[in-house]
Amino acid sequence: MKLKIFFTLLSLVFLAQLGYSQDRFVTRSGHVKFFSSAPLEDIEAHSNKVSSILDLKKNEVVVSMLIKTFEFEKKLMQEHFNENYMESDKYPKSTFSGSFEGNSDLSALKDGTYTVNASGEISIHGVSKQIETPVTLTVSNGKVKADFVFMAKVKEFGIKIPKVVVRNIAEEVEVTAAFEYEPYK
Amino acid sequence: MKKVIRIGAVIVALVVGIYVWQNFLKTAPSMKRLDAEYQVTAIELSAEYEESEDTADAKYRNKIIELTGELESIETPEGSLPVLNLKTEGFGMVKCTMESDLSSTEIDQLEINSTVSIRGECYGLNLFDIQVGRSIIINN
Repeated sequence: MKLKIFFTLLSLVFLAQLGYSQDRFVTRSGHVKFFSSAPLEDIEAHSNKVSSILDLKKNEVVVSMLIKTFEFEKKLMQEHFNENYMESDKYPKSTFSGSFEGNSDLSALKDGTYTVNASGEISIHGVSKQIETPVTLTVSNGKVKADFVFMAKVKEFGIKIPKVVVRNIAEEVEVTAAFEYEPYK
Repeated sequence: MKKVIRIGAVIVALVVGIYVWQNFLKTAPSMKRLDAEYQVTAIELSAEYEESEDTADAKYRNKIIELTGELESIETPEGSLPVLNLKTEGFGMVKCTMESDLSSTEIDQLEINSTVSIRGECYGLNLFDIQVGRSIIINN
């Protein structure tokens, strides 16, 4: 009887370890917002169809989004964004591939909120750049949430703003991301 | 002479008006008025993307397609257009974002696991899922 209890307890500990050793997480409904504030108008767009893979054991993250999934309040604005500025037919995707700095094994994180630095290569409009940004990771009940904000200068990504709308579109736009990851099974 | 100037001014105004409308005000036609270049099932589309994303992109991306598939789930995110997810044989889905909002009656008429046909613009593969935008239901 004592042996049976011992093995039951051992199994429970082993299963608990399996639960905590979940390394890879995915989301296919990550949210990204961009916000441009210019003298004549503010422009905001959202996509909740951003995919990402997070590997906490290797401290790596990959994010991918299709630019045409951005939704604007005005249909015409959305079309101009895709056709005239982002040239989405030619450059359909924006990607980020990077790693977290400062922690050797994030998979050991217990429930709580942590700030880590992510650095890597971002590609927008066919132009790739190195970026570094703080990311807030929230670990809760086996799930991970990641939030970050960074500023992107449109000129640095080869996005041309015609003079006629220069007072409508900011030179630097704010990109806000919120991803809720599920364990990858 | 004045008459000629007036007619000239009207013609110039018309030309400018047409140019402004064509380039700045005209929106893409509704999906109802467009013809599909390809008819394919969600499973076939997914299999083609799995085999070669580049080849499938060359064939389908930015093209109007008619898709038939089994409805896996419906998403109605707040502040965004509804999404119908079609099943594939892999991990990914074909996510069809609607061209406009669906009424609650239209959503109620959709049955999970039933077969739906959709016309929309293929945006391509995004890690796991194939995204189709501007979608309309062509039969249910």
